[in-house]
This record gives sequence, C-alpha cells and structure tokens, in this order.
Amino acid sequence: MDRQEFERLALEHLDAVYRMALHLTRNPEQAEDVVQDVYARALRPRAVASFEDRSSDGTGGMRSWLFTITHNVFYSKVKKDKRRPQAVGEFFAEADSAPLPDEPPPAWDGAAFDWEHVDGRLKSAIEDLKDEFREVLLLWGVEGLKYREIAEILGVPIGTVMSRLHRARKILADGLLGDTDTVRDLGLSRFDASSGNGGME
Amino acid sequence: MNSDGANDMNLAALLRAGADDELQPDQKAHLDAHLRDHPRDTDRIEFERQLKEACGRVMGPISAPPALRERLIASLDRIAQDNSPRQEASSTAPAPESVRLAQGVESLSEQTRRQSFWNRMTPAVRALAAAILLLVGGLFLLQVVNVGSGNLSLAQAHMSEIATFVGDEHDRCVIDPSRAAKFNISELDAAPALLEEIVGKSISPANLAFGGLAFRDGGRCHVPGKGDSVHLRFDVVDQPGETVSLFIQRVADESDELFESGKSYELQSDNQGRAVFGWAADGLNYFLVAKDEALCESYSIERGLTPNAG
Repeated sequence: MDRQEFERLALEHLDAVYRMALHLTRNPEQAEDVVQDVYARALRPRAVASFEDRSSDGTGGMRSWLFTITHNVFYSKVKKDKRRPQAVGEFFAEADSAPLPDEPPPAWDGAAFDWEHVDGRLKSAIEDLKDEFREVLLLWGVEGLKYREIAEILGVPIGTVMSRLHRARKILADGLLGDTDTVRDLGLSRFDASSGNGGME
Repeated sequence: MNSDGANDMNLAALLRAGADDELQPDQKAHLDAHLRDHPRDTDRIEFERQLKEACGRVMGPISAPPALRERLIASLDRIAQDNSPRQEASSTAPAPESVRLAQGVESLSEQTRRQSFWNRMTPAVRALAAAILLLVGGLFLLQVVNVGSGNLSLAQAHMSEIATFVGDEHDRCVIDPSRAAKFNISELDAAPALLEEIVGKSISPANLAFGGLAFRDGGRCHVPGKGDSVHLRFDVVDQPGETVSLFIQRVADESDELFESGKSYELQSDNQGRAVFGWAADGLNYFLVAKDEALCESYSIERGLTPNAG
C-alpha cells in the first residue's frame, strides 16, 4: 500500500477514532491527545507492517486496526495516569470469569415506544457506565461490529464481549425502567423487568 | 458467534444475541422454539433492538474537530516532505511504506547533522555559549544524533514521534488558549513540587531557569512513552510573544531510554519552523522546543553540563 492510500484510509476513519476516544476519555482535549497518539503510532514503521499483515490475512481492515490502537493508547494512558484503583488486567480477569447475567431483557405491554423522549436520560446512563462497558457499547451500537470483531479489537474472548454487553444493556435498561417518568415516556406499563417468563401481568 | 460463551447460553443471553443476529443455526432454532412457547418474549427482543438503535443515536453523532484533522494532515505532510528528498535520491522504484517511513525518521535525524550550530550562531550568541562552556569546564560537547543508514531502530522512530508531539503541543498551547487549562502552576518555585509529584524527581528552580527566559506556567502533559511528563513554559524576555517549552518525562523503562547520557540531540531544526532538542539526565528525558535553535543549544549545553541530581 502506498503512502497516500494509507493516509487516505487512515483519515477516512478519523471521526470514528475520535468518537471512540471521546467516549472513552469523556474529555475533548484528552480525546484529541489520544487521537494524535493513535495516528502517530499508526505511522510507525512496525505498525504499518502490522497493519499490512493484518489486512493480508483478512482479519481486519483499517477501521478495526485503528480501533485496536485507540483501545491500547487509552488503556496505556489509564495505567500511566493511575486514574483507576483497580488494574485493568485485574478487571478484565474478573469480567472474564464472571457468568453471564441471567436477567432477561425487560418486557412491556406492546405499547409504542418513544425512545427519543428518553435520549437524554439514556445518554446520562451511558456516561455513568464503566469505560469497558461504554467501549463495547459503542463498538456494538454505533459502529455495528459483530461480537467477534469487537473481541479481536479489545483482545478479549468473545464471551467477555457478550458479558460486557449484557451487563451494559442491563444497567441501561434498569436505569431507564427504574425511573417512572422514563417508563411513562417510553410508553411502558405493567412491565416486570425481573421476571424470566415474559413478565406480563 | 463461536462456541465460547454461547454453548451454555442462558435465556437472557439467547434473547440478546438473537436481537443482535449473532446466533448460530442451532441456537436460532432453540430461540425459535422458545418463542413459540413464549410469544411475548419477541417483545423483549424488540426492546433490545430498539435499545441498540437508541444507543447508536445517542452515542453516534460525533465528528472530529476540524482543527484536529488539519493538524493530523499537517503532520502527515511533514513526514512526507521529510521522505521526499531521500526517495528521489535513492531509487526510482517506490520503496515499501514501512521503509519510506523509516527513511523519513532517518531523514529527520540527518537534518540534525546537516548544519553546525556553531557556524550558524550570531557572534553574540556564540560568545555567550562559549562563555558558558568555559565556565562549566567544557566537559561535554554537544553532539547530534547519528543514525546509521542501516541502523534505524524503533527508539529512533519513537524519538521522531515525540519530537512531533512536543513541537505540536508547544504550538497548540500557543495558538489555543483552552489548552492552557492544563497548566496549574504559574510560579517557578512551584515547579519542584509539580515535578516531584508527576515525574518523581524534584528539580530546583535554579536548574530550570535560564538567562533571558521568564517562567510562565507548567502542568502535566502526556509525552508519548511510558513515563509521566510535565510541560513547562518560559517567555523569551527579549522577544515578546515568543515562548519556549520544556517537556520533562520520567524514564519509566528501557523503551523510554532515547538518549545517550551527556549528549543533546537536535530532533528538529529551526528551518522547520521550530527547533526541538532532547537529552537525558538522571532518569529523565528533556525536550526543549523553541523558535530559535541557538537558544535550544545554549540551554541544553547548560543542562547537559550540570545534570540535576533530583
């Protein structure tokens, strides 16, 4: 791949890389720093060779490759800044071994949803999620990646991706459905989120 | 979806994976059978699909700031310019991208050898630098990095990355006032404590100060590498509006060991619009950014000769 093509491809995904960096850092300035580090790393000779290898064996394109670098840059910074009392590796190990949550998605009475009325509350709930949950939610919900692709980007087993997604979704659903105004705005009624048998009265 | 995590899938996981179209045929058949017995659970699947759409709607509409895009393009252009002379001289056949990028880094280093600092100084600055040298005993000579053509290392690529970062960060902080929010000290006397906190070593104000420079501010920075870093800024007294940046980074491990002790390295020269010098002392990397190469030279000479003991 020649230089111009490489740059064109890399810059084509700048919005997606910035979006991921912003959702991880929740700070525009830090997000820009992350993005610049991502592109600096992406242009290292060894990194370019790594991308060419990865592309040639069909395991990922430029976007996934840049997401992988973004993930690595962010968590390197997390470790360096010691912002988290718990080591990332320890958290991953914990998440990997935890069973999938058994709570089913909430049921409702079939009334029409009105999600747009709760977008603000959903946004707030997403911002409260742990970085790991928000990251997987972004790759799944916004970037439309499959579980396997997300697992490859994050360097974790596919079961871990599923576990994080389930937990993230449950937290969001619980957060939304625990609020009576949200339930009303969504058009829900008589739901029973904790029941596994349909939950309808 | 493959088998790990899917074979023992419980109902919740089955419904959610079904909503995500991530089921294998046998799992899909299992879900279909379940839905025949529990038709209301199709609503649960629909809820998950709508939740996904809502997440996409809430998290999705974010674009990179135009200024960030411009900076990245400018950085890429700079690397391309660094590459071009060598490409023309070496071969008409295009080299692999990795080789050309490596050549760009090498080219960057070559620029540090191309012009002698001593020949380019004004007489006054030369006299000042010479005086400093005499005063401290002339124990060290300024040396520029010498990258052999077949000896390019990842460390040198990393050095180039850092040179670009500190140069760009210096410019950003000048151009964009909002960047100055990171600076949380404005007195030189506060610098030792800041450095102690972030890079683990205290440097006395006397060892940070330099004639003709007035301390402006300082704060945490994120120089590429494993070690934490600090960004200090000084105003050039004789040149209103001109600022010098000193980045100090802790050497966390061997991947941060970029410089040979006692030598300073010209990572960018002022014919690139700014000069960037680097050196190491006492477990710290120093990167000095200024418009004037001679100032960098003088400062690094003094620092190289009197390394701080922390």
